[in-house]
Amino acid sequence: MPFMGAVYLHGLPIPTLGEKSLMDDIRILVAEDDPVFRRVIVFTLKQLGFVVDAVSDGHQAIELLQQGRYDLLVTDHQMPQCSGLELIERLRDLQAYAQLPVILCTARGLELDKRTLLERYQLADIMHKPFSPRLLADKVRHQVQRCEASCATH
Amino acid sequence: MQRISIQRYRNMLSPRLSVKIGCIVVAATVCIAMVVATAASGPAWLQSAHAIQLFWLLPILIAAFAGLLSMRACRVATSIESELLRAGESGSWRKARPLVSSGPLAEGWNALLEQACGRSQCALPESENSGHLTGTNHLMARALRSLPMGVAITDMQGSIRTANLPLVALVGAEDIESIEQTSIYETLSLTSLPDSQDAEKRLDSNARSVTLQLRRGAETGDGVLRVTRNRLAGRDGDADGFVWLIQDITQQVISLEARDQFLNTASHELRTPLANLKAYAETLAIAEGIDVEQQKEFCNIINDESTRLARLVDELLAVGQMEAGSMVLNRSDIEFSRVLQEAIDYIRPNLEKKHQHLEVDISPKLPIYVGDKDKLQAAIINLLGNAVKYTPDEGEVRLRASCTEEGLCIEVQDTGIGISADDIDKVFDKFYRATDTRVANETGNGLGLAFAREIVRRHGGDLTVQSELNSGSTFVMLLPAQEKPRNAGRRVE
Repeated sequence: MPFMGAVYLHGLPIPTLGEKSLMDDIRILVAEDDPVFRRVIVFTLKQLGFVVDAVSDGHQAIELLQQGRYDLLVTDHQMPQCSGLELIERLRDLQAYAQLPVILCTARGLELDKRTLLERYQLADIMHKPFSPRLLADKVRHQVQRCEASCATH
Repeated sequence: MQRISIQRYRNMLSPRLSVKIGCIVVAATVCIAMVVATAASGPAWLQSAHAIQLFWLLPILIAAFAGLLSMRACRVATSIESELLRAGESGSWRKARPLVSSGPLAEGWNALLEQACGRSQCALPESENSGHLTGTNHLMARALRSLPMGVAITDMQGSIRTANLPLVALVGAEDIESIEQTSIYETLSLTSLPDSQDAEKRLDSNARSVTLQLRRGAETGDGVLRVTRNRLAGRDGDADGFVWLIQDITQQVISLEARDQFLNTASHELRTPLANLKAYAETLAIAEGIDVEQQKEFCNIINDESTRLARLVDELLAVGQMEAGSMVLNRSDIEFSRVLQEAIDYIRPNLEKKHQHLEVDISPKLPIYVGDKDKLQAAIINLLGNAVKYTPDEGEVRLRASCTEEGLCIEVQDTGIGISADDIDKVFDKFYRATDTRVANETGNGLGLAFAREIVRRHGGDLTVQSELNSGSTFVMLLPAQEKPRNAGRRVE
């Protein structure tokens, strides 16, 4: 597995050619209502070489998910019209995305019951704003590696 | 057990009245007999005429002393007798007063009265006399009536002995008699409430003092009671029971919930620009392969976000003041044409960025207005800013100011995205942002309009809106006419 060899000394390494071929296949959907924050997340993930699409609320996210294939979802918690949790609930009803790894970003603090959320929505992770994009990148890479590993064994 | 044995001991020490007086008489007789016997058969020096005279005096003194002792022994009985006589004269046994004295007789009398009247009147300091005691009672009864909380006294089983009028009002009964002798648990419907299980558990415990918070329905608005139950202090026995304090704390709970809600939303709103600041700064610092143009843009975003954060903090403080009702208006004479011109200058860069056209129509005859210049100007800037923000490029924004019969009228009209009928009632709510995605795409915190309306209302006016989706909105700020403007003749600088 070429992924295991990736060492991120300075946060966001420019992917090498070997990795890039793998990364190209990974499609990530970002749902975030704040346009400024959406932009930096997309920028960060694109720098890693992923294919990234971005939407501003849950409804649009569902539409895109139904149209194409995605390997990972990064979604905000509070969005107008269709919140992140609603989105995940509807997502789990779709056959193709029942096991999709989801990273939830939230501007809520410690009042959130993290464990219940993780279990109930089968979340891959929860990120509390403000967080470092490097941390998000690490978590996304971790999820991709896990996915690769499980795909390889099956 | 120990109390009973002490009681018996005291009963032994204080025998019946007749026995007491009998003993005194017998003792006096024996003393006199001894004196006489001594005088008759005493030594020779006692037989002198002088000494015999003294010996006659001694029995008289002894008899007088015995008389005094008997009177003292009868003191409590005499008091009871006079109370009975007084009660007999006035024709009502309720006139009989309890005694302030220790001893089984006085305590027995007090207990008798207490049982007869059904009231506890005995537990008062010994230094007070009985006349004072009824006065204090009246005062206490009045105090209980005037308390802003319900007070009930029950026995150990919870059956109400007596209650005050506020409690009657609180439970919605007609008068005190209708809830007397009923169970307090039923009167407060403690058993059928949403959180009754917890309440029962707490009340079953043997604690001296139990405090509960009870919801009277599923919603906070249905009412919340704070119930405090304390054991009655004082002697054990037939006066055992509880005193209950029942307070309606619905308003307090509602305002607490509103505060929590506000804090939650505020912290959420603060984290959003903070997240942007952190993300962009870090990306700039560590990401490789960003060209100079992009670096510049990211720096601009950081700048914008810090401005947004600073404005948010200001507005949060203002909203906090609004909530607390502590917003202070620094009134001074305002020349509106100048205030409006400054607001236009402030907003002009945004306007030019979007190539929008601003039409200004300010009546030259605007009167001098007395109000808070900075806050009114901030409100106008908010309205103009919104108009620019939600109007597409090349659009048009109109600002009109005129003096009508009702007062000063400032209108901000735009040709923007408009507000849907669902949203229009809520645009002035704190933190509310329309569900329209075109609104979500603009930065904002949902405080600007709430703030602007509060400012106008504090000046006695109102801020209203008319809008049609996709064709534009008009915000009208109406400040009531001021009859006698201060310094009417003087121009303001």
